[in-house]
Formats: sequence, C-alpha cells, structure tokens
Amino acid sequence: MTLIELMVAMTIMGIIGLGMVQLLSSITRFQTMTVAQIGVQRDARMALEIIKRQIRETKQTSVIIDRENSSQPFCSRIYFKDANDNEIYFYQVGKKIYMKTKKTGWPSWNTKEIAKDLRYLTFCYQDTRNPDLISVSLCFEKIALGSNTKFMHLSIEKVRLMN
Amino acid sequence: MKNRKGLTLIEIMISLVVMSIFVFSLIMAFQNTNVGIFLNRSRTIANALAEEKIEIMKNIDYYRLLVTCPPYNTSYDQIYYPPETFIFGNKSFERRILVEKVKENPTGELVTIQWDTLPDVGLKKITVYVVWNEGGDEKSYFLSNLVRNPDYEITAKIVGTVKNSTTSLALEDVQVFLESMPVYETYTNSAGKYSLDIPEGLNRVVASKHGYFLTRTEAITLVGEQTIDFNLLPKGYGSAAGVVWKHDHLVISQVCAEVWDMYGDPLGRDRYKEVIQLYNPTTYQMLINTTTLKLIYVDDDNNQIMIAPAYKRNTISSKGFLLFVGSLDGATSVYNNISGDATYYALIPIGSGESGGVCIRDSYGIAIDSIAWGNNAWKSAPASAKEGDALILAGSGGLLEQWIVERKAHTTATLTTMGNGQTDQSKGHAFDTQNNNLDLVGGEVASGSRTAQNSLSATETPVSGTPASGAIAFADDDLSSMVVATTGYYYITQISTGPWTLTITSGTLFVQTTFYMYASSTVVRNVVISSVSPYGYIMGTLLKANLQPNSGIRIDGGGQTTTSGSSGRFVLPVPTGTITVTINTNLDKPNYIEITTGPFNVDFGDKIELGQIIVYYNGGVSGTVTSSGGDPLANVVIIAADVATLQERANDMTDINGQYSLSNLASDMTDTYYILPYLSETSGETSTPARYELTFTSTGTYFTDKNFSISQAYAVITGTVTENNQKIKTGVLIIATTSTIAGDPSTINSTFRSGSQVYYSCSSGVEGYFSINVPGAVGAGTLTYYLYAWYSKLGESEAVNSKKSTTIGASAGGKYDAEFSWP
Repeated sequence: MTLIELMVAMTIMGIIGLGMVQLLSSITRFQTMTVAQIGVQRDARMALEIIKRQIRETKQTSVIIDRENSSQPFCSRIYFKDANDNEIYFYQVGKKIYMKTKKTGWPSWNTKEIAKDLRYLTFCYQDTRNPDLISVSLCFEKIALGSNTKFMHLSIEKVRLMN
Repeated sequence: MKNRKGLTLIEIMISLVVMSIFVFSLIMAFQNTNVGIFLNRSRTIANALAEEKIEIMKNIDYYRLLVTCPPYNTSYDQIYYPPETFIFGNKSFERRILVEKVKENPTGELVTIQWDTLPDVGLKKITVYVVWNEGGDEKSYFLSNLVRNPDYEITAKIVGTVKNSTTSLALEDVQVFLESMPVYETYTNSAGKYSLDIPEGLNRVVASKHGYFLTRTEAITLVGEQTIDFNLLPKGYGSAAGVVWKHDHLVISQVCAEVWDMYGDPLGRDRYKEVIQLYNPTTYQMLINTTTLKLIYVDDDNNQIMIAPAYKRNTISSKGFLLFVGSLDGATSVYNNISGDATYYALIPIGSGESGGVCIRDSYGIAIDSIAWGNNAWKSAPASAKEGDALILAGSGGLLEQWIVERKAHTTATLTTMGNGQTDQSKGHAFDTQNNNLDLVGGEVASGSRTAQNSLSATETPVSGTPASGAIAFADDDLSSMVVATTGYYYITQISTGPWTLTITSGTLFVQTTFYMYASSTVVRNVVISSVSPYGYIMGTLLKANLQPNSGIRIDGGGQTTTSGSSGRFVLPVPTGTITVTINTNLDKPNYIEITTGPFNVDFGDKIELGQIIVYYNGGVSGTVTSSGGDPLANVVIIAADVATLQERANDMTDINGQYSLSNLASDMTDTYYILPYLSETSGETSTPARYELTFTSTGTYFTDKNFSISQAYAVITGTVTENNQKIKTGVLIIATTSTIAGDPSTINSTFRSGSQVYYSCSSGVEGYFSINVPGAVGAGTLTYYLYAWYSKLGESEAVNSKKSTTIGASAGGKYDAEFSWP
C-alpha cells in the first residue's frame, strides 16, 4: 500500500468516523432531551395529583396560605386540615416540594419530599371572599445538555374544597 | 517495482461504489434521526400547549364555557376562542379550541349532541388541537377533557321491563326516554329490560317502538330508583299493491294503412293515404325533426326504409300527439279532415301476409319505440321492428283496408273501448311493456270510430305506461319495509293502520300518493312516476306534547321542503350527501319551537327514520342586562331553567347592547321557567332581580323587558409578564386589590378572608399571559385596583422575589390591559 493509498483510506475513515460521532451525539442528545421532558411532565403531573387530592378534602376554614420561610416565594405554602382533622402542609423550599403531615392525635409531623426540579409553586384564591376554590400553579424546570437547554412544564388547576 | 501489484481502476471504482453506498446510508440514517428528533420536539411543544389550554378552559365556569362552532364549518370559533399562534424557534404552532356538548349513550360511549339540544345534559367536552408544519406536512396533536355542570345531579334511576301487551312477550329495542328531556334515553335488551339514570324531578316516561302504539306514564316525581314497566299494544296493519308506470319516452300510438291500389302507386304498392301517429306520455315537450327523430318503416323482408317526412309542425307537447300522413304524392296532409303535422310518401302495404313494422329512433340511431305486426302462418314480422313478440294479426297477418294497429291505453283496453265515445277514448296510448303482442291491438275499425289526433288535438293523460322495473316502493308508516318492484309490480305488507303516503322511486323519477290503511285490508294503487327524484328520504312523525299528531309543520333539509300530514308523518325527499333537517324552520308556525337534527349521511335510496319527535309549543323572553350604573353589559350568560328540575332549557349571551333573547322554550310540559343571569360563583356580582319566574299560560307566550341590573359586575384585567423582553413561562404571582400592599402579601387565613381587604389573584401561564377578574365599580365610574406581580428566581434553597406594581381604574364590565416587565 502506498502512502497515498494509506492517506486516502485514513481520510475516508475519518469522514465516516466523524459522521458516526455526530450521529451518536444526536441520538444521545435526543434521548437526554426526551428523558428530561418526560421527567418534568411526570413530576408535575404526580405532584399536582397529590396536592389536588389532599386539598379537595380540606376544611375551608382551616386553610392558611403563606410561605415556609422568608427566603421562599410568596404563597408557596398551604396548610389545612382534612375532614378527619389530619393536618397537612405542602410547601416549597428552593427547588423542592415537601409534604408535611400530622395525623389526628399523633405527636409528631412526618415530612417527605414529593418532587424536585421545582421552578414555581403558588397557592392562591381567585377571590379571597370565596373559600371554595383554590388555584394551584406549579412549574418544573430541568436543565439538561448544559446550562442553555431547559425543559419546563407549567400546570395551573383550580381545586374545589369539599368540606 | 514494475511487477508490484496495485489497485486496478475497476477495484477502485467498486471500492468507491461500496463506500458511497455506505456513506449514503449513513447520511440517510442521520437525516431520519434528525427528522425524528425535530418531530418529537414539536410534539412535546404541542403537548405542552394543549395541556396548558385544557387547564385554562377547565377553569372556566360551566355556563361560561361556550360551545363553539364545528371546525369543519367555520374554521373554529373566531369570537370567543379564536385560534392562537405561537412561535417556538422558527416553527409556528396554532392552537385551536373546540367545545361541544356531549352525552353518554346507553352503551357508555360519549356522543356529540347539537349545541342547542335542550335541555342541557350538563356535560361539555373540550378539545384543544395544536397544528404545525413539519417538513411540508401538516401535523396535529390534540387533547380532550370533560367538564360537568356541578349543579346537575343525576341521582334518580328508572328500571323496568317492556312487553307486548297481546302476547306478554318481552320486547327488545324499545326506546325509553323522559318526555321533557328526550336526551335521557335508553333501549331495552333482549329480555325487554332497561335501566336509565336520570335527574330527579317531575316528568313522564315514554316507551316507543315501531309497530306499537307509543305509551307513556302520567307525570310522576322521579326520585331514587323506581320500577316502571310498560305493555305496548301492537298496531294493526294491512298491505298495498299495484303497478308502477313510468313515462320516459315517445311511443308509436297508431299505424293505419288505409287503401291499397297497386295501379296508382309509383312504387307499385300503396296508393292512398296512410297514418303514423306518435304519442308523448312524458311531462315535457319535444321538438321533432329529421335530426332528432328517425322514422323507419321495416318491410316483411326486414328491410329498413327511412321515411323522410316534410314537417309543417314539429312540436309535440306533453301528453300530446304528432300525426304523419303518408300519401301517393307525399304532400297530401289532410286525413279524415285532420291536418297532418308532417307528410311523406306512403309506403306501408296492405294485404294478407304483409307483415311489417315501424320504428322511431333518436339522432344516434338508438331505438325509442318499435312496433311490428304479422302472422306466423303467413310471414313472420320483421325482427328489427319487434319489441318482444310481434302483434299477431289473426287471419290476415297484415293490415287490410280500414285496419289499424293501435297502442293500448291500459292493460285491458281494446279497439272497441278506445273508439270514439268509448270508455278508454281519452286515456292516452302509453301502455308499453316492451312486448308488442301485449301492448298493441289491431284489426278492422268501423268507419267514424276513430278521429285522427295531431299536435293541435287535446292532450290525453295516460293511465298506464312502461312498467318501472326495479322501482323502490315504501310507505311512510313506522312498521312496513321498503320493497323492490322487480317487474314493475309492488306489494308492501305490514303497513300500520292510519293515513300514510306511498312513495315510489325509479332512477331519477318518483311519485307519492296518499292512502288510508285499514287493518287486514289491501290498498291498490297503480301509479305513474314522473317527478324527478332527489334520491334519498328522511322521514319521521311529529307529535304535540300530548302525543297527538302535529300536522302542517314545515320540514326542511337538503334544499327540499315538506309538511307533516294529518298523522304527523312526513317524508322528506333529499339529495344524497350530508343533510341536516330542520323542523318548523324559522318558526314557520310561531306557536311551535324549531328543532334541528342531524346531520345524516344520505345515499341513493336511503330511508332514514327519525322516529317520533315532539314539537313543543314555543315560548320566549327578552330583555336587557345593565350594570348598576345603567351601562349595558355584554357577554352575560342568561339562562332559562326548568323550575321543576332546575335544568337549563335555553341560554343566550348578551350582545354589546346588553340585550338577550331566549326562544324555543317549550311551554307544553314545563309551564314555568326561571330566567336568570349566570353570575360566576367566585364573583361578588349580584343581580336585581335575582331571577324571573315566568309562567307560560298559553301557546306561544313571549315576554319582553325582563331586565336585569348587575351590581359589581366583573371587569377583566389581562396582560403579559416579560423578562428582558422575553415572555416569562415559569409563572408569576399576580394579586389585585383595592388597597395597597406595602411590603409582602399577607398571610391568607380565615381572619384575612373575613376581613375588609380582598385579594383577587392568579398565576401567569406558560405563554406569559394572565387574566384576572375583579368586581367593577358599584354604579357609574371606576374602582381603583392596585395590581402587583411577584416574580421569583430560585437558588437551591432560597428564592429572590421581585415585585412590580401598577394601578387600574375598573368599571363594571370593563376590559383592561396591564404589563409587568423585568428587569
């Protein structure tokens, strides 16, 4: 094999190799994007379902909307009692949502993280004179493939308080 | 070196080809992967846009969630829910909204119902479509969701069994429904059992099945689970039969070869006058000349001899005649003192054994009608002039002096009965079964027994014609079935007793005739089809609320119109295609409501049965809605609700003048309605009066000036939130209040909620858009609102909250814009 033949072969191999790298890169990128997008959608749907299910059984008079501490966004925490007087909090700390519960007669609170990658959580009344309806808004945001690519999902739902 | 082996040109080329294929495949794979990536990216965006809008739409109060136009009709509702366009990257997405009324059918499936179906069943379906262009192809994605009216409670249930009252056997497929709310319906199963979930309230339950008398209960209060059984009485029935005639072509009605004189004939045959007479049984006039009509004589050797008439008059009217007079000089036109319409040289021989025939053909040479006569004992009739069997001229086999060949007026007509002054003289000569020996009579006629008929003679309405083989015949009762008249004869069995319409259609023609069906009898109707048929038929029975026939009601569909008969029955002939039927169109009878039903897909010969439809008496009400300051309020939903069930029976939305008008309020079953504005439960709006309770004491009652004054009617503040001129898609908290918020928003607890300060709040959506409803000023003028926005940026465990504010002066019913931008 001559040097020229060797160079031609290497050039061709190089082109093919470059194409393969780009292809694999695209596939990986696509997979990462899809996983990230599905992830935030799943988290949003799951968190919203948990919150809605609990709030629906709330005693209207027990509801308090504020925030966990002064470093958190406004209206990002809700407290209420359900029909059995179990006490429940949903609140935001940074990029996470927590649920804190205390069953009637139990001495201590149980806290668990229900979602991360949170971007926005707000509980608000359309009209504070009407305690029947609470609007729950939450947004999840995930950064993937470097800091320039974000995947987010925003959901807003009204929940009717039944008690 | 000279002997070192290298690569040949062929090897290089093969290598290049292989490499090219490999590289090309790689590029294609790369491209396909890219297409997939972009398509999935677009679908993800479309999904997000659809989900967001679904949530927004679900948050609209049920009554204010307006049913939209069908998308195939007006490309989506342009007024209340116009399509929205979004640009992501370099791609444009359009979001469209469809809101439909739906109901659950007995099998549990959701079916779309007309937007104006009353009463409302309390269920609406929202569908959000997102469409975009991907590589030149339009792609779409949609999501659907249901919204139920929280005021509606389907808490009652009726169950039962339906039997034949004569045999006590269970009846399947019996329709059971609430009389005033027929959307609540079900059908019995093979055991005759049914089960129907319904709203509570006063109502009548109806059981209906074809072939049985409709049965209903008295008005009863339906609550909880109740058992209601029915015994349906079968209807009596009879049958109808007859022959279907059609008139679709010109016929040869008479041929006469009067005198034979072999010495005076230049051709050596006929000498004196002869006649060929044509009859036009169709409904249209024809122009006859040497181009449009070929007149041919066929001799006994089957030679076809073209006759060349000289026309004097060449129009043959509907049901009229045209007279050809043949003579030795070819110009003599008077025959028996009647002027011929055309003349020709006589050529039909007379004499025993002189079989022959006459044909008429169109300009393409296609036979219109043919007749042939003869006698097999002498000489057979010429084959090319025969239809079926030739007319047998007994004894002679040919025409003799004073002999004629004449087409019958009907099956049993004879030369005698068709003579002057006889019973069949003026019944036309249209009998044409395509068999000369059946259709014609021939022989000697007495002098003066015939008067020649030309184009100036009186027309004659035919009583027979050509059998419409394959015609479709049906009665418009609710029991019998459609039959095919294979030979032109039809026989319909099991026609319910009562007054009905018989419809017969063949090709493009049809006819209708009415009759009364008595039990166990047979009605005979020989009919002629002549009108152009529109191909399909939609039929039904219109009833009043007391279930008596509702006659004289106009029904429209597919550009056709008909009227219900004395039994309330109607048959609407319609063109093929998608047809919507309107009953009592444009309140043709103002005392009754207008009903729209369909659309139906109608094919040729379809017979679509709508069943029994109750057309209620019509009531209406109109008025104006204003703010307490006297300004007209637009877009306020006004509802008419049934007092007994509180179900919506009609609704309207006020126009820009604040005016509303409700009609189609059935006033037979429910005489009293609440008329009230729908005020959102989250508003502070109050109405004066809260509602009207109107009683419709007579048919067609219409109330006017039922006005409402709305205090603190809503104003709407909408706007956008941006950061560095980009829409904020992650949510911003918006609060409007009538007093200032100096620092942070208050903790919202029971104390705050019962206090004087009220927060009206929302979050901005994924489009960076917000909409917030606030009560307007009480009376004229504006009410000042302080509008705040908090936008938070998050660290891992803490947030940086940024606040913006503005003020809005809001009047009742006003619309305002506000924008918040960072930094």
